[in-house]
Amino acid sequence: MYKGLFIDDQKEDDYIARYLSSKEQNLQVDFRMPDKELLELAEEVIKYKPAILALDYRLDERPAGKDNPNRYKAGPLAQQLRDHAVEMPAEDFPIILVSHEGKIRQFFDPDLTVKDLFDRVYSKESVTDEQARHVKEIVSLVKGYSQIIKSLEIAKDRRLMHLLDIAEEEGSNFEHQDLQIINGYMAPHQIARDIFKKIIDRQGLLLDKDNVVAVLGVDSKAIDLDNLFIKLAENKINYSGVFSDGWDRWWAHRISNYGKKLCGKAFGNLNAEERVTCLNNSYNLKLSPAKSRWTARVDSLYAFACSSCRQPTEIEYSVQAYEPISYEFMQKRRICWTCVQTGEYAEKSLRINTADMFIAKKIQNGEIKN
Amino acid sequence: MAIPKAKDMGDALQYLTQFLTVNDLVQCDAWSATSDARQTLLSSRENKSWTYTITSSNPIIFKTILHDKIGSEIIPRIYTDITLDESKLEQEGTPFANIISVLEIRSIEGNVLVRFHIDRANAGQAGPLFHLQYGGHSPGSDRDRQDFELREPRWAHPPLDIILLCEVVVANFYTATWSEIKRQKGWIELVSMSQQLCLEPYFNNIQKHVDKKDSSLLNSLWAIST
Repeated sequence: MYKGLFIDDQKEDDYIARYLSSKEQNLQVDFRMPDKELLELAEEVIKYKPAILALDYRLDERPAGKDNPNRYKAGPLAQQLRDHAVEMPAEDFPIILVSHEGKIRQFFDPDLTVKDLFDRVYSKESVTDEQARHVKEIVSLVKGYSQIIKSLEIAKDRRLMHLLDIAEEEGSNFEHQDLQIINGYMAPHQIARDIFKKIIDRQGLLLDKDNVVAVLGVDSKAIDLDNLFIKLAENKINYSGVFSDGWDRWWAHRISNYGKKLCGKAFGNLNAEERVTCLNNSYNLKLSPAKSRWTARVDSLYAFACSSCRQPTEIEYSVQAYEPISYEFMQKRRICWTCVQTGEYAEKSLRINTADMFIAKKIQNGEIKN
Repeated sequence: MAIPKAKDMGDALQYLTQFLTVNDLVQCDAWSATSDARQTLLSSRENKSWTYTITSSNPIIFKTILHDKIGSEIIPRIYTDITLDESKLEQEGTPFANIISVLEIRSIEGNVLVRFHIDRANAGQAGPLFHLQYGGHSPGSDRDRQDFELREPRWAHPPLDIILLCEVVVANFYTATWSEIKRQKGWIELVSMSQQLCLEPYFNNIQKHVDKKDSSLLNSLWAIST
């Protein structure tokens, strides 16, 4: 049984601990209030050895006693625990933030100094709405940390490949300095943070389901889509490394090689209709090609899923999204022209890169029409 | 001639992408456009027979420029599919088992204004073994509107890989940058590598034919002997 802790100064939110727990997944999360000074509480948590720690952001809103010892937020507590883990890597554990949506927006999002301390940030509302997904992810974090701790015994130059579960001959895909730096980290939470930040949470080396569907040119509502993903699994396209049981991803380079083998050409050199014809003929499926949101055609050259509407999108009918940090092995976020035209992208907290504002304005003022 | 190892070509594509990005010549998707090609080459390591693809779905897209004469913005984009077979050099005088390098100029609305490609003739195709051709088949959704039915003439032309094609684009459309970078040692080294690969065997063959004087040069460059 994995034992976790949820710390919150709001007693009435103790039900969150139940939502974070799961008998089927062998996960029991207990509720606790921050009724001690910061260092004392940190010490107690370390002694408790939680498989996972969940913290509400504001731990200081309700005094927990006469002396009002809880004059701290989640950040300093997490920092204290992370410092300990740097000295004692084998005792490291995942820390997640679980707070009300409004507090995350109002207090956590603007606090740039604490973001890297948490493996995931969940709203209390989403934890109750999508319990199964969150429990799956939390258990994956627990297992992943244990995998990372074991990997510290492996030679540094092989650690990342081992954690990502990739073959020796695929190693060259990961020879970027910004990835190799992961091999040198001392603490599991540093390794976990970079694997999420650079590999799992971003398109590039790995693709999420919407981007796989876009690269294959398939209509996301097509019958046989599940059967197609079974075929991808049979061809070992799936990511099987650390945290893969919580986050479904597929290797971009394996899809590319798979396309060349299956269709004789890279998927990127076939239009969606041709890609789907190849897949249907190869596997006797009844997939249909995705229709472009801009041209309404199915013989389109899709390269990725729009970051706003998640639909298959062509490079030529999209603009760059603003993103402050990006590495060369990451696929840059793009927004389809239809989302630019309708303004949908703004609702998804996306911004257009200033370099492409020239084109975006022409779309928005009707000079460029579909 | 020296055929570069796969990993050296992968490093060259890495350098090319960085160079184009630093000099503000391309849209920032250039890393994503060359990503698969770089990875494929780097994983082939010491091999001197290699292949790489930059696809038409995710090409290298240059910065939008205002073309004075036509009075509107244009966007050059290039993509390629290259297969090198070391054994072909001795057999056929060229290491290129396959090469197609495409330059498209598009309007900002996405319409193809012109398309050129340089490729190796298909089996049985009448024309120079390596040729430059206007138009050709578009793999994308513009096919119906923008396919160019008239395929001829095919002009005898040396093969150009993605590096040499980049130079053509920069020299023609980004003249101010071109005047700066063409003297830079790094750029010259990069281009020299591709020149040795693409141009040296081609022009050696031409020199041999010119010296022999037994047929016209065009006939000697023709894919099917007539």
